[in-house]
Amino acid sequence: MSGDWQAAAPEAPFWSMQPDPSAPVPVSTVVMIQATAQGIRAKAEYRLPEPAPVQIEDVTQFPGAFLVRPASATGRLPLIIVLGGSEGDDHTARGIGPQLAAEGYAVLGFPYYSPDRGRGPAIAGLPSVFAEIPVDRLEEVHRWASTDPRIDVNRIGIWGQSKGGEFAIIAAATYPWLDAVAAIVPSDVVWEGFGSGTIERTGTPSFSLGGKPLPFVRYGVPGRARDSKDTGRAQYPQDVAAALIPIGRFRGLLLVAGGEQDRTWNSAGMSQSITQRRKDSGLPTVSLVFPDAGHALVGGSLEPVDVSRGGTVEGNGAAQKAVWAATRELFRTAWPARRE
Amino acid sequence: MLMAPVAAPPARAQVVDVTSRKPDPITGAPRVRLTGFPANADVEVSFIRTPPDGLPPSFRATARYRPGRMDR
Repeated sequence: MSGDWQAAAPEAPFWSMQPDPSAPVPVSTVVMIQATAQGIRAKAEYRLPEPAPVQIEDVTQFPGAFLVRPASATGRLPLIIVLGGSEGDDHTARGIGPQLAAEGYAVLGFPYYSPDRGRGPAIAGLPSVFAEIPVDRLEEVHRWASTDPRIDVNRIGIWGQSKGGEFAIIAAATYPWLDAVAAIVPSDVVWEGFGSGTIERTGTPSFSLGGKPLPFVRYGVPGRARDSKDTGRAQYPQDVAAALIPIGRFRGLLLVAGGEQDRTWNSAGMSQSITQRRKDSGLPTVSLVFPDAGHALVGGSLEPVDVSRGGTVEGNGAAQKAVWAATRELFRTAWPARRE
Repeated sequence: MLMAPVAAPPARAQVVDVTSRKPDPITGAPRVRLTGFPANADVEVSFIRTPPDGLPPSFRATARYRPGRMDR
């Protein structure tokens, strides 16, 4: 067998797709399957699964925030707070939020950074520089959740990716009211801040806590690619020692996932570091490290993968599926029986 | 007298979605079976879709198989 996919996985033809302007244009909810041999041609159409119905509403207490719940939900549901990465705004939460909510949870899309792409922040009220983001904002979320009759404030978790994974790990080490945290391509340390456009580094940390800047690791060589972090880590070992997030404090369930071919930062190594530090504290971690995957480990398994931030098509495709399966399992394990 | 062999009528080539029998439990991806193609022939299979906004260009993934029954 040869071609765009070789994995014996039913979703492989989906995540290995590449743009092809010459291909026929089926309607967007249908996948056309064509088979040809020796002039014989057959085809079929596959209708993509309908997304599970959810209800989405703005949460006006927080800029750009929104709550997603299963359309048929009644009663109090566990809450998952979604923290996106350096892409900012609500892009990641709009994608993963309905997917998580369909599993039977309330999901809070919680933007906390809105980069200035030339016309100011897309979400008014959010910082456009990723510096000293107050982790304490999650305490406000906790208070808000305790007043909403649709949320079980005793069952709260976080899903975060990339910078949101760094945020999630800090939160896990800080707030004992968190039951479960999924940190995808996360960090084991607090990194230096950065900004939109030309602000490559701020000289201040990405996050603050209790009104104080957290110790952070400076970047090394110029740029925002992985080598700026790898060289920073190598050049400033004293920074690393001070900036390590004390994840051994977190008593809840933790999932981390990283790709060894990550071009944004060393998510595999940092996932392993988190896992080791937990182990040193006698705590388990669900740790997924993918040799052939990069930074983009999140997405619907039937969507084409993104290899622009590292990894192979097949590596990222297989990782996406495994990460989603582990994410479902994490929250199901955290809150097994009482889903209302 | 030699009789020319009579070729059996070719089986009708089909692409069959067998999702309802064995759906992938995590992704819901279809399982597809190709039937009726000539044995020992390379079969080229393409999956084509448009992006979520329904606008071109389409996306395509193509692979070639040989021979016989193929489940993916």
